Amino acid sequence: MIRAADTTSPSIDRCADYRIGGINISIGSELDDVLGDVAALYRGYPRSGTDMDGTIRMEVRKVKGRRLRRPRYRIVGDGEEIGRERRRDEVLPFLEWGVNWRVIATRSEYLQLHSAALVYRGAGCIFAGASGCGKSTLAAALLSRGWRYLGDELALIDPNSLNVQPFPKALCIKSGSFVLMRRLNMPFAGRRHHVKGFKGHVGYINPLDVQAHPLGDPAPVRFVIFPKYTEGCKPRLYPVSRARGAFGLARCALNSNMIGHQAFSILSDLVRGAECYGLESGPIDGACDLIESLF
Amino acid sequence: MDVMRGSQWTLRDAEIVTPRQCDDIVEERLDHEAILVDRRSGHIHRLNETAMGVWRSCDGQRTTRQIAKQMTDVYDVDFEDALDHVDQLVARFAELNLLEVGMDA
Repeated sequence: MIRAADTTSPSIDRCADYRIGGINISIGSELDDVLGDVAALYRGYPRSGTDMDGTIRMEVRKVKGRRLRRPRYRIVGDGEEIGRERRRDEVLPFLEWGVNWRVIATRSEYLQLHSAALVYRGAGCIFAGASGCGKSTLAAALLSRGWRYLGDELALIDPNSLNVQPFPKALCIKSGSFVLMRRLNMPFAGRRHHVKGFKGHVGYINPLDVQAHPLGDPAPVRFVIFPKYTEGCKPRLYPVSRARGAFGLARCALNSNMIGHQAFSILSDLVRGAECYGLESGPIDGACDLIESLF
Repeated sequence: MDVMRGSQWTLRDAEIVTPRQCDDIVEERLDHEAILVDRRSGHIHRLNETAMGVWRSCDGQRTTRQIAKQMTDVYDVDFEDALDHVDQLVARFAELNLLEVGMDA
């Protein structure tokens, strides 16, 4: 006889496959609401086949927790468990983070920078800096002004062409910018509030909900900008030397340990073809005007 | 010639100190500045124009005194100040293990 405790609830596994830039992502889960959240983020993106080589495979499973047997959400990336979340509203941010983590781990053919990247008039623009400097908010605001979007978290640099490659995941916006996003008519995908660890509440924006053709093609990097958000300050854009630009980008490089010192010659070559600026950004409209005045 | 690295070395005499760049340092020159990548430690260093000028003169042949003299030819600085800057920079480079320092006794 099979005891009830040995059985699991009946479930039907499903998966959704997306092509984000040049990277195939497959999300599997028996949880309809998780797949629904992901579908809202990537509605309109190209679909990829499930058995493509190099596909990043993520899974979300509901499992029983040890303490009080409360359910937890087990998140797996390419067969390796990367976390167990207690709260349902933590699942999507962790899943999105997990996709980034798998890209960092598996796409060493690119130099990966912790940066937002967009294209305007054919010129690639990288916004580099630590978390909280305003990369995603700037990216969202520029997207609303008609820029083409390449990504808000990872700028993938092809070492041969030095072009920045698209990896246009949904934009992740922290709660401090929710009011601004509403003013810019930027719609949040699906449920608005998710919880992303110490960053608190976040919302996601599907770029295809903002404009009809928001996704950019690979582009040469013409501008490297280091934003720093200071509330209420007058926006100021000031040139920095290429050496300072390369040094700043090196601090944002996520996989330089895999590429070694060659990472630095790639960055040096990249900034030789670009202008580098620091940006003190206060009110977003003024900051965007300054950036567009470079073109 | 004695060769020492980093904290083993202290400046004693500008006439005999001949600093030389370590082999494992990759230099990327960007306009008037330079970035040094230490392949052993993975550390990256940014040098401004004057620091780069001193760094590029550290060829194991020139003494710090000669490097300082060279600086006075390029910049509007008197020799004592230039020597002071060179001494400090060479000491800092050595502390960061970017230079080997020879002593011609």
